[in-house]
Amino acid sequence: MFSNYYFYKKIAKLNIIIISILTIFLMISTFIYKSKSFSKEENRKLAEKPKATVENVFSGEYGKAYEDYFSDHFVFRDTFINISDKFEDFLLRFHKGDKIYVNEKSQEDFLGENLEDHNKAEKK
Amino acid sequence: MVFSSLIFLYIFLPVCLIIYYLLPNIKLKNIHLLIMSLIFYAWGEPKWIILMVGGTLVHYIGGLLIARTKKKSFAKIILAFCIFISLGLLAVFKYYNFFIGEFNSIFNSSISSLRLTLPIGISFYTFQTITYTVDVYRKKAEPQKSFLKLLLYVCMFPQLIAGPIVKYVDVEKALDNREINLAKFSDGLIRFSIGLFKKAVLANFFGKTVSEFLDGDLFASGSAGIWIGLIAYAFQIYFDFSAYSDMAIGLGKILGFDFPENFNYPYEATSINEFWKKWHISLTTFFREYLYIPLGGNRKHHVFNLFIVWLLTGLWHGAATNFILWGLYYFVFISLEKFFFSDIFKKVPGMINHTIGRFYTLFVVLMGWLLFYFEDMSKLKTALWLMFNQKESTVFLDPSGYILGRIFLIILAVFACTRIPANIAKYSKNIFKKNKVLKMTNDVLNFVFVFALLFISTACLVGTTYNPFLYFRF
Repeated sequence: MFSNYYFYKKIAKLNIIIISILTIFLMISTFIYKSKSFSKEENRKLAEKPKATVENVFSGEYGKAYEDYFSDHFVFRDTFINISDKFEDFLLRFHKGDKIYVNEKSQEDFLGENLEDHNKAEKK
Repeated sequence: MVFSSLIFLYIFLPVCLIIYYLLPNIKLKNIHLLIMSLIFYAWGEPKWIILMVGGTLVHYIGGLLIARTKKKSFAKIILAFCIFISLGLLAVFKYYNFFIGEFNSIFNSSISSLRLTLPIGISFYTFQTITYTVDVYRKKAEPQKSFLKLLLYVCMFPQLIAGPIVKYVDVEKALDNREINLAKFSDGLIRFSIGLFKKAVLANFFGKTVSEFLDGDLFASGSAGIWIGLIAYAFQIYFDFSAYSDMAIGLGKILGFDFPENFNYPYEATSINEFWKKWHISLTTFFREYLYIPLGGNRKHHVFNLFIVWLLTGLWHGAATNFILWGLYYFVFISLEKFFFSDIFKKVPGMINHTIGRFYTLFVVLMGWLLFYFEDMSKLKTALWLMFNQKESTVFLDPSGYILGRIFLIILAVFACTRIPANIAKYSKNIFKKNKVLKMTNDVLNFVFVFALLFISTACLVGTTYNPFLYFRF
């Protein structure tokens, strides 16, 4: 199989072919995908499809509104957000709630708690 | 439109490339590219298209006239006029309010400022049109007979908004005759994906750190916080800007164009002179060829020429005093190195030279970013004071804990600033060349690499809807 020059040349640039297929798949699924209009996790209404008028196209508003709409209804949006959170956790792996201290000269309590109790609670 | 947005990646770009590859000849491809570029530009700011098209028209006519005339003095006048128009546009839209403000404060007048938004990319396309007309005058380039082709050069979407400042001569031949093939597509795609990752993941991560420590109350951040914020800013600005250049060059390759490099691992430099040969190369090239050398270069009044160039380099980056000071800050170091330290550098043996040089350069550059970041002079003073007077923050986190908690990110970031990844790629490519099985493995690895970068970048982009580039105020 590998000795066949023409076959090899066809699959030579595998990365482009597969990426292209995936992108086209993504594009198509965006148009077919029925997404929700309210996000429970974010507690907000997801952007609605904007209507194009001469005015808002020329001011650039339509463009921005359409971008927001497209982002909010992006295919597999929740999955992607989940993945990006996990990736962020991975990069910030050892970040476990940074220790907090208050400037000794300042007499105020941090967040209304006594600092010693707060640090003791953290250690647990 | 920005490269690091879902709408660009998953609607604009696929549509643009599919049509581009399906069109049978260069002429049609050019028309298609021009239309797509105008849409790309207009998507954000429709009204300023007229400025870009109008400015290009002036240079188009100017170029034809300069080439046709036999009188050198007439050609000079035309050239001066074209440059005047371009710089005039830039002066009005970008600098008018700043200059009026300074004028008002010096002379106690109250001239009102204009309510103008900065047209995107104006700092780039005005310079590009200038390279065209000047090079026609210098007989380095043939005048472009087709206005549309000239317009294509100016507004091609890969480099339009913040891409490298591409000289007309670099693109002149490619407009009519360029090689478009799968190998270039593949290379361009890899380059583009790397840029996207740098921006969507790295620059954005560090951007959050910068906001956390440098915006708002500096005393709350404390000395350590400000250092952390500043180093984060050094990372952010490098990843942000070099990412855009990576993406521009990658896209250019996919379309068949070879744009010049704009960054060359600047944080590896061993002197400030070397740093500026590696940072925003297209800008320093522009200033050298079209300002420094015409002024006399290093032959006539050398220091004055350097002063003007660095003053304008600073000013180009932003219409505010701190940017001018930033430019002059580098003027000082560039001059010191050229006139005083070059002898010392030569006497010290290589290895020590390199190491000291790197620390020295990184420190100077880091302090420079402080000047670059704070437009408010009083905040700058506070930050500087805090950095060198150890003051614990009022509400803060343990600095070593903060850094260790993000060690993977930091290692990745440092790694990404060096040429180590590129060398690994080159080395493995040589190994993989040996036979067909290995070559296939190489392709599979390429695919996995590109896919991973695009996937992670997309995921991070989905999480954020607001994603502006830093160098976007140009």
